[in-house]
Amino acid sequence: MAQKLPPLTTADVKDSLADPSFSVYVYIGSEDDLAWENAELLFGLLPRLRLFLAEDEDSVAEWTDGDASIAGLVFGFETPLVSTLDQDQAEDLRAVLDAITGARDE
Amino acid sequence: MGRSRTGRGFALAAALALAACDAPRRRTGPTQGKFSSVTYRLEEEARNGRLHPISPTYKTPVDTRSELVLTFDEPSIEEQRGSDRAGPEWERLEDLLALVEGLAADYARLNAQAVDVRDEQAVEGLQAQVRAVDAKVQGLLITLLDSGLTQDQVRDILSGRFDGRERDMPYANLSRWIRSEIERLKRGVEEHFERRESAKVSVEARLDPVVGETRNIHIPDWDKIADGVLATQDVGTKFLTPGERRRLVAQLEAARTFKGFLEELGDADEGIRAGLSRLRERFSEEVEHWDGVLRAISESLDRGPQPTREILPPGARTASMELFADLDTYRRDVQGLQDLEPRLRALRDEVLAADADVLIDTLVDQGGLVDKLVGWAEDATAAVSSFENLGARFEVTLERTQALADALGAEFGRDARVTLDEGLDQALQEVQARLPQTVTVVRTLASVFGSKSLEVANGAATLASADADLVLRDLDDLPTARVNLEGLAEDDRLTLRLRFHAPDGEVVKMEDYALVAERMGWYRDVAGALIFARGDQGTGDATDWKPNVAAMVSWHYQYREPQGGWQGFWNSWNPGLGLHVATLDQGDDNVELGIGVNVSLWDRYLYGGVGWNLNVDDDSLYYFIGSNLFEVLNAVRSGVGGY
Repeated sequence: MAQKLPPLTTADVKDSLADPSFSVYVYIGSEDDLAWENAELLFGLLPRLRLFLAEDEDSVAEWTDGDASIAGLVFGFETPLVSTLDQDQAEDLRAVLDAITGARDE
Repeated sequence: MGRSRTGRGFALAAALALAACDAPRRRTGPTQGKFSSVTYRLEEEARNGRLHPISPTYKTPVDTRSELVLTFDEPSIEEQRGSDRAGPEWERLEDLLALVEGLAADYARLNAQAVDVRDEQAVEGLQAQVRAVDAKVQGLLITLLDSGLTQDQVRDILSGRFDGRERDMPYANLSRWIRSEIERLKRGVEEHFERRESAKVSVEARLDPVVGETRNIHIPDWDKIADGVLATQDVGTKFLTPGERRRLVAQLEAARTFKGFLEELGDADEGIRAGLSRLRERFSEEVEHWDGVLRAISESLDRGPQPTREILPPGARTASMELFADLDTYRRDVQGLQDLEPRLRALRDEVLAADADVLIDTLVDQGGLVDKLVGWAEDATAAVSSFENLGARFEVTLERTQALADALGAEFGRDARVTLDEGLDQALQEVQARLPQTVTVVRTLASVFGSKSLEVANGAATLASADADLVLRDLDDLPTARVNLEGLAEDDRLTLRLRFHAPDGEVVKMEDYALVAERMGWYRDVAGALIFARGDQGTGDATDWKPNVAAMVSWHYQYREPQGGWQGFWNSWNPGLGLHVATLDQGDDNVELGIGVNVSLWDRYLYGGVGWNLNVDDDSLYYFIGSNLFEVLNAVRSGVGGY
């Protein structure tokens, strides 16, 4: 189930990352974005995926280092951040899919 | 963002996109036609087995020693299942559906699977399963995108917007879309099968021979017409094919008729062009003759005996009424001839108005004149037929008229002989005297100008009933149609007609292949020709040019597909070398025969040769020039009437 930050916090993301049976994808933006629809659709296709919508950029600053061009954070199983996506990439369904599945291959 | 939030028009786009990925279609080249899923082609199969494709174009030449083969391609597996593209598209969608349903199950199972995160082996096992599903999801998305769907369209499908039933269940939405696509194909296939089951095909071959009636000829498996002269036969063992025999007889008849006409005119030493010019003059004379004679007859009938009922005794009154009835009958018969007179005069004016020196040029320049002449000749032949009986009937009438006059004389005690009008009597005698000449002219016109066209009318009735003989076949049962051309003569025209019929019988598509029979490669030609021959030496009129008739056999070569100017030049000149037998008129014998060698040019339009008169001992060498009137006039007809 997709979850939003806030009300969730960075700690909730970290909890999910700690579960090696799931991978995580965090989209930084709003729920009306095309990129967020991509994320939701892939969430419905790919098993064992946890999805977060970070409407507050500060909540994920730990992984973005303040880089405002980052729109997507892709984590694998039990791994640190594998890759990031810019806005264009996040709006590309194929690119997001490749990023998530690629991270889960790590 | 450019996203489409509606499913409108999407199914069509998706279908087109999927269709674009079909297996390669069958080639439909210029020699092939297509109706629904039926592909067909017409080819000419030469004796050596080589196939020459035929397009449905104007007047395609075909070799008389070959066979026409109309082939319908066997329906492929896909076609048997549905339309060309339904099979693979359907199969792909069904495969896709199975994949989606499998993934949906995996998705649900893996998400629901509980695992102890401390059990590394269990976790790794789960991750492996997830990666396997990931790969399939990637393949699924690639399949959708590579089929031509845009990302917006894929999102519409996965989100459920394509049918307005948005649900957060991408697999369910995708499954629903695939099923809707399969339903669409199913409807198309059902319609396709309905069309296949109801549509019919017919094939017919119409022969328009140079000699003989226009008629449909038999194509095995495609009609109920009895085998005719074009039935498969061993023509190779016969000197002349039936078509050649008919053509030769017609050529000799045309030459003989024209020779007789020239002799009747007393200008037997005239050439063909001069002879045709004389024919035009004679034609004009005939018009004037008929005008005068028919007017005289009509006026005489109007002035005929006018006995009144008041003064006639009862017996004579009955006889007079019968006489009136006879006169009315004569008027009607004569009217049939009189109706021809204005048409004949109009034709005469057309012929005379032309500046050309010879009639044959006029025919070419004045398109349609030949047809009108032939039409008139046909009507005149029928009218003359009834007019021939008129003379005998007039004799009877005259006798009855005399009997009536005798009765009147006895009744009134005075010489009351009643005679027919003197002018009528003279006109009648003139008609009887001129009738043979008129018939000769009519027959000459018919033979020289109309031997073919007159028969077209006869053939029309045959064609009218031809449809009833056709076999309408289902699209799934289309045997190869074969037409053996070996019974055809040169210049015979053949139309192969392929028709597709809707369930209500309406012809929804028709393809005509217009063909003309020719001879190609080495071939032997047998022909009859009018020649003008003279002895090389001799006394009296032996060295005068005189019309005669010759039967010739010559050998020719025609390049089927001329390469370069020389071969085209050769084909156009079409030289031939051969032998001949001719009737001659150089000695005292009633029947003189000559044999010799000859050359021909331009499709036998021009002949020349030398030979030896077998009926004279000395000075037997003769030479001649001539022309195949039949070929010339047939060429004129083709030029005027087209094909």
